[in-house]
Amino acid sequence: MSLMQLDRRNFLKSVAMATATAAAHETFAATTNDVSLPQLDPKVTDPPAIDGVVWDKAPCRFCGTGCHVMVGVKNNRVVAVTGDRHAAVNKGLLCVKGYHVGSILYGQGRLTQPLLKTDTGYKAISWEEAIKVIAKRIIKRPKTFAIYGSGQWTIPEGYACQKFIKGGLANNHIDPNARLCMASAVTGFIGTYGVDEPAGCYDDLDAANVIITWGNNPAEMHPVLFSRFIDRRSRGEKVTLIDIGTRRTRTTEQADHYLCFNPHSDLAIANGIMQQLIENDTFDKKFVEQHCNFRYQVDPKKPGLKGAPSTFEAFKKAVAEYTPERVEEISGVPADKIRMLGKLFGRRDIRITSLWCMGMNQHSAGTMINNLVHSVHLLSGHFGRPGDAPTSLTGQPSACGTAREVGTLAHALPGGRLVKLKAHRQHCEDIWNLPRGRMNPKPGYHTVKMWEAFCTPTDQPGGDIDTIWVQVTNPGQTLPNLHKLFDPKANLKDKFLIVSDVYPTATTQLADLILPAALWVEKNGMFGNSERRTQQWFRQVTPPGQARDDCWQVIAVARAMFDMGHEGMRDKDGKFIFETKDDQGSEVPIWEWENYYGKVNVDEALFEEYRKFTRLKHKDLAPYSEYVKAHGLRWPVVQQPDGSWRETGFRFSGFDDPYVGKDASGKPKEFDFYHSTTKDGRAQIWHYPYLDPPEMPDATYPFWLCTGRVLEHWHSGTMTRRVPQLARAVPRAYVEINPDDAKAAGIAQGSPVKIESRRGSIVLPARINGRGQPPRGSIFVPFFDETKLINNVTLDVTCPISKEPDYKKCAVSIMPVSTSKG
Amino acid sequence: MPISGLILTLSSNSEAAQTALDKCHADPQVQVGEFVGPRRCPITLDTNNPEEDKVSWQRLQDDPGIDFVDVVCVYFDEDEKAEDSTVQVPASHSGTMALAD
Amino acid sequence: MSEKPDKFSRRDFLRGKILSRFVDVSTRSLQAKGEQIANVAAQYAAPDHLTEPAQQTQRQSGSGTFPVIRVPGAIQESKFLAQCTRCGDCITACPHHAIVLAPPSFRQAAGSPMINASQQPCLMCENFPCIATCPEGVLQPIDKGLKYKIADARILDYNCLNGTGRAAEQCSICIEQCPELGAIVLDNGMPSVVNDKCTGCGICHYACPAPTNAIAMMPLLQRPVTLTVGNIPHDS
Ligand code: SF4
Ligand code: SF4
Ligand code: SF4
Ligand code: SF4
Repeated sequence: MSLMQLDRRNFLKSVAMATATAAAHETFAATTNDVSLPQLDPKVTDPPAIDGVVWDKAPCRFCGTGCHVMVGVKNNRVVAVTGDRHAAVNKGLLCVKGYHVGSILYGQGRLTQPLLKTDTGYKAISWEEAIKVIAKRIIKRPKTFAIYGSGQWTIPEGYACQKFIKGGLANNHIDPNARLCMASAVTGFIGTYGVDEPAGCYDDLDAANVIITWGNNPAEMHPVLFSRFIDRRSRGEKVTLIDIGTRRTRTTEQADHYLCFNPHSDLAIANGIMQQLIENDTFDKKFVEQHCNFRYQVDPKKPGLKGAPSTFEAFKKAVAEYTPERVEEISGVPADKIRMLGKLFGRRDIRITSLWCMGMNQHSAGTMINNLVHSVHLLSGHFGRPGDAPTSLTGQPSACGTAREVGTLAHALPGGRLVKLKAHRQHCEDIWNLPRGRMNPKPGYHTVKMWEAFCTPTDQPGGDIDTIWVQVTNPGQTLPNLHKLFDPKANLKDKFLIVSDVYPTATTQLADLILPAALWVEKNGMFGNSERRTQQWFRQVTPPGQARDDCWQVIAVARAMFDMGHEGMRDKDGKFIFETKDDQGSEVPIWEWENYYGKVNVDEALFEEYRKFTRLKHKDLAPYSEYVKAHGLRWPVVQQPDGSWRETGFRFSGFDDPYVGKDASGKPKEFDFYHSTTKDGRAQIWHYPYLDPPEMPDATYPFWLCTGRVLEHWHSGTMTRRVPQLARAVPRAYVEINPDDAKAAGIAQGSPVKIESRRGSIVLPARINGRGQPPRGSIFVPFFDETKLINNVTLDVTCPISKEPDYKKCAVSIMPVSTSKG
Repeated sequence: MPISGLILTLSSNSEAAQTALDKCHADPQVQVGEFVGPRRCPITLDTNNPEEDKVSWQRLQDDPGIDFVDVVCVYFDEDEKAEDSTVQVPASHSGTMALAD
Repeated sequence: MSEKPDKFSRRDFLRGKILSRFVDVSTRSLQAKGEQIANVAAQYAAPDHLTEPAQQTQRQSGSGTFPVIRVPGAIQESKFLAQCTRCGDCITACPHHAIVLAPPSFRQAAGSPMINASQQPCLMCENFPCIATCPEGVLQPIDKGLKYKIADARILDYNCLNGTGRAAEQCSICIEQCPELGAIVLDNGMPSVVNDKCTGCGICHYACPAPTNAIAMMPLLQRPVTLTVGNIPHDS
């Protein structure tokens, strides 16, 4: 080596050393200890054996994709997280949030002690005291108490709350934040198939030739699923992606066709596709004849979940007006593109999967657009074969598992049962061993109504909720129209807000009692993801300080009420409703925290009880122990003659679903909608007209406002904003504006913009030509930023059937804010 | 000719850690930097080709006195032979998230 | 579309297929700088721990100069080290707390002002209070229409979420946050720094969310270095 080369190598070495030294400082400063990680590829390698590090599985804490991670624990601390290559969902792959999921346990400001609000501020109190405060309050006014829960509740947590309030208190005021996210999908599935949740699964993404995203941006919101089909292209497969949306997104970047529609006009597009199928006579006659009925709303302005029977002729007439030209007029999507969609759906030789999430659910006609997209698939027969599926994706990790399946909604009971049906209530009373007739037939308040009642003075009409217990969610940031549905609480002295959470949030700001909760692998848990996959994990570290499981909190309150003599906390034999026995048959006092993780696994006990509910709607779950062994199982999970348990990928399809009926020859039918609302094994094809949304841009408020998430943050950001890498990547909210609108309004990149609606206003920096690009006349704001509450601006109008609010459209004005002080 | 900057996290077993450190000092490929905290130590690894880099990295990774090896950077000298596509870039996987302990 | 190179596949990376491309990227800027490096390497005294026989090296005994990232306007390194009195005025003047004293592990640079972008990048303030305040003149102002350059950002493909083969998404945080238009571009799915547009502010390094940070900030080989700002001949 020449001297010159030697010098150069020395220089490179010193640069490498400088970089490594700086990095050592960085990681050292950022951590309280000095353990760092091996470098490995989770898709090909299992986590390495490292001295003192114990690895175990867990689903990711964040989105409804339901990826599995391996969690490495050393000295009661999570020290590493890596993708789990054995998990069918993600095969080792994660998104950036998933890689950082372990850090959410160690963010700044964990709540570690129960805090009671006093005149002089918050006072730390003991758990005994906190539990007593709640128990007394509920005993005094059991009918005005409500629980506001979450699609991030674990299954046993949701189930315990459900049993406590509906079985114990005979009060049905329980609703989850899933009302704000999945309710329209639920009503869509029920209205179409008579039973909730997608028929297909993620395997569809491996088989579809065409994937259509309806107001959906999986590239950011469900990245692992998105890459699952996009990566097929790099293997030489042709996957056509059609993005039907109201702004350009990361998903659009990969799309073969982008159909930009005027907000709300997706209703017209779906109708337009059906018009084309009829006009071209390319709908699937055999499928429709054998498996479908027609359905409509007698008065579209007063719609009902099940509508009224219709006929093919009436259907044909109803969709006839949605010619491509007419659809273009309403939606702004060129007629040619509507024809293209019509042609695609008319083809029998390709497989089409539709994906949607909040764009179709947070929609003032959410149930209708859900029904219509199912109808497109049914009419065209693109259903029930791998790759042919209308599939809604869930936002939250257990919106399906907990909110929908456990039925923690104001009108629902576990396993797809309904509060208003006597037989269903009696099932619960039987399984819960309650006296006959204890349960209340009147549905409780859905989310918006619950918070409206809470924000109305108790002595005024409509103010009949005075205590809400919030668990695992942040309504102070995520409810729509916060000035109406949350803020008034601040001045209502007779209202009492209890919040169980892991960090201070916008909600705890108004809380009267704050309860520190255990998070993710600090507790045992089970989630159910978007594809009906039930997943289980064990507690791997203990929670900090006095933080305790949400589920324990509920059981402890129930027990305190039991001890105070509350009848509802007893079953008909006088036993505690959460009585749990060990293997020897003696009762374990699980309401004492010391015993909660002891002789019994409370999660297992609750799950085994809940499992009994799941057969009615053929959502059969396997025993807990099966989930311990598996990386999740998709229900119905049915035991085989050899004793093993088999999951189901494709519901209603004879080749896979064991509950599909048999034909005359004794073979399974090709398709069978065995929960059909018309009780004839058929699904419903809907017609529903395009109607204008309740609020549209006008002269004063000329812009559409759409809100949503960004990849790097989870919902209201309480966890992800505390992970430095994610917070630094996307530090603050912003408003995406079309460059032409920005120019016209005199708004420069990064400059402050005031966004105002009839309900409120905020100021945000402008983002022009960022990763999302709205068309002219539309703006977009992410809602993760606690310091910039866009929900002061949004509208609280809901879908009339699902009661889910529309966060995706309201009318606003935009104005540059001058920064100069003078 | 890769030059990589790594951070070693030595084992809390001080005997094994000392042995590992002594080995590093004796290794002509390795230059030991200044400790940051009691157990984290930046080093550079100077090898003749990616294969050798991988082997050395693996040796460090396997050392009982070393808990973790973080790869901070890899620089290639310009006379690197770029054609060889059969060897993998050493220590170049980072799909795992390190956390505070 | 066959003439277009195959779309970069993350799976390929793991099979080693894109190694050549990887090496290519990694060496590209060094090749360009080969001469430069050779010329300036002498600027830095070869650290003795790199030249000494390894056996004699002892823990905590290294010496030699670490190249560190200096404050905008810093003069040539040996002069800087000799003339900067460590008065700390620039540290006080920086409104963003971007300047820190180099910790002891930086050997001879220890105690002198540097920028550690992983804690706080330099925001390249309009009026450069750091330079304005320096009483010793080791931070030197430059002409209008030019920009200061304090480092070179370097994407480490093997750490980048787009290149490691396991992040599901297309990440572009560095591009989104870089204040210099066009300093980072997407090249076949991978970000890549355009060195003569990058000021070395370190914002991209600070923002990169990869599990192991994928942007190394390389200290400058030669100072002062400035970039010319296009199309702003006369700033009024
Ligand atoms: S956030 Fe969703 S996509 Fe990302 S790793 Fe977690 S479950 Fe997977
Ligand atoms: S330019 Fe501004 S941010 Fe950068 S070092 Fe100087 S004063 Fe600090
Ligand atoms: S690439 Fe951009 S953000 Fe990164 S250091 Fe250079 S100028 Fe700063
Ligand atoms: S921010 Fe980091 S991970 Fe993301 S593209 Fe840039 S270098 Fe890659």
